[in-house]
Amino acid sequence: MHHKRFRYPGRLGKKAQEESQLNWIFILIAGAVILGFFIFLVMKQRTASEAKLSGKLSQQLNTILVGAKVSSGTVQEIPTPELSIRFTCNDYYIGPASQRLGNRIVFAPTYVEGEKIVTWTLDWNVPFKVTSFLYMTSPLVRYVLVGDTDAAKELWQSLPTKINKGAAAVSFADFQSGKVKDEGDKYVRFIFVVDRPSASYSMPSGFDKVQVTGLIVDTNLRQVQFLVRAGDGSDTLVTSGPSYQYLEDEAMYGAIFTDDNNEYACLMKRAYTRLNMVARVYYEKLNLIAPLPAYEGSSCEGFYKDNQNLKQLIAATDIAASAAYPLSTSSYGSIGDVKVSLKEQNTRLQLQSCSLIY
Amino acid sequence: MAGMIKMQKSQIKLGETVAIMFVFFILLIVGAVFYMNIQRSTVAQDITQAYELRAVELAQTISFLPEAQCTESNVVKASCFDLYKLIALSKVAGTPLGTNLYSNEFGMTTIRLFMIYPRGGNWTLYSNPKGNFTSAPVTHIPIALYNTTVDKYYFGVLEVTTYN
Repeated sequence: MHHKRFRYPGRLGKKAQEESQLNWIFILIAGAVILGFFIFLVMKQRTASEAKLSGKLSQQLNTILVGAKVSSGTVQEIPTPELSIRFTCNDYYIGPASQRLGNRIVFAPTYVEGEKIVTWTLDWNVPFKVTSFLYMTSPLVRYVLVGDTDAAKELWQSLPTKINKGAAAVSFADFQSGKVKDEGDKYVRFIFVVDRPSASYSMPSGFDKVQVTGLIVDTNLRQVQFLVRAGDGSDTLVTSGPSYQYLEDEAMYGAIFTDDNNEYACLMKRAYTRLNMVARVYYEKLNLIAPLPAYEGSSCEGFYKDNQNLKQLIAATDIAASAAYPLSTSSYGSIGDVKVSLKEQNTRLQLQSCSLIY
Repeated sequence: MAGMIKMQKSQIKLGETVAIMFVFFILLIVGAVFYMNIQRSTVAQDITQAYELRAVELAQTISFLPEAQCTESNVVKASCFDLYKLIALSKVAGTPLGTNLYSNEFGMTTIRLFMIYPRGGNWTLYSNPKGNFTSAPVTHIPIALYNTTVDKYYFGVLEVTTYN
């Protein structure tokens, strides 16, 4: 053996070298496979836990939304982990997890971001309670109310103090002279409460990197009109979509909190569909109790049997059968009349010791 | 000859390493399968729990529906269902428009109302059963029913069936 090693030293050395090289290649391949396997496992686990966290967060937010909806008239500031919630008319999304909003009507900007969300709940009464509107925003959105009128000041005061709305309403002259400055907010929403609305508004300088949207509130005609930037980097806000009429202030607040006119239209359409359904339930209920011995032939029966106000309300809000949202001017007029009339009927029923309509 | 022996030795070494690797991966796969099975059973448990919670959530949703609540001049009476509103709701929810609207809220469930005391009728408030469901847990929720015509409270039960 010794003899042979000395006889063919080069050949044996080469073989050992080859063997050693082969070993290293094998170790490298095996190592890479094991490493790859674990990297794959970690990546999968990471994706899964991210999805799980998003799901958990969306579930928790669902609970928050249910709770917020129940406590009408309240403003809540809810601390959350750093997250971004995308809202559409029917759903909301946190990362890959989505959740249906169901019967809840939530007016919110397209993206609610940050470590805090502010919710505000108000009942929508037409004249009976139809649903609760939930308004949602975050401190990252600044609301700048522009207007000199009493209506502007009143509107500014009616908005919850917990939202990022500045110290006071800004006069239109101050807005035009550029006194409104960028304060480092990610989103800014200008609310113009003016007597004679314009088709476009020039923004003060310094808002190039801020995502700006706007809204015109015409308190005389009770109409809202959404505004968007004319183009990327443009300093002009131009109208977007049609003007929407509102009968109740709750609907106008909805336009303030929503930044997209299509989403607003969809939400209001859902609200009016619900109104139609609730009116049908009331109409049916009154027809059920009208022939009961307690009311038959009494003065109460006339209010209950085939109640024309409710019938009119059902016809005016029959979006599914007749028209899409926005409703026609005559429908809005009709709803306004019915509201007054139903209130009167309810008062008269109370005076006559009859069961109330609502 | 010696070269041949060396070659064989290294082949055996390589074989050993491959065998170790093989056993290692087998153990890893067995571990992964075991872990996945545990995860699967946890998910199944979570799903069952979610369906049970859904039934309670639905009952809560109904209790806050303005078309079911007892009101007086828009003031809501807590934990009270208006009997005639519920009967009217059972009629309206059965129409195509009603089914379309309430399916967004109640999904694939059946909600029935039983008047327990005094013994009265029962009404199907909403019904949208799933075709081939695997299980359908039923949740009973006791409620107070208010008869506005005689100003009296009755006792009823909401039966919520959720289809899995």
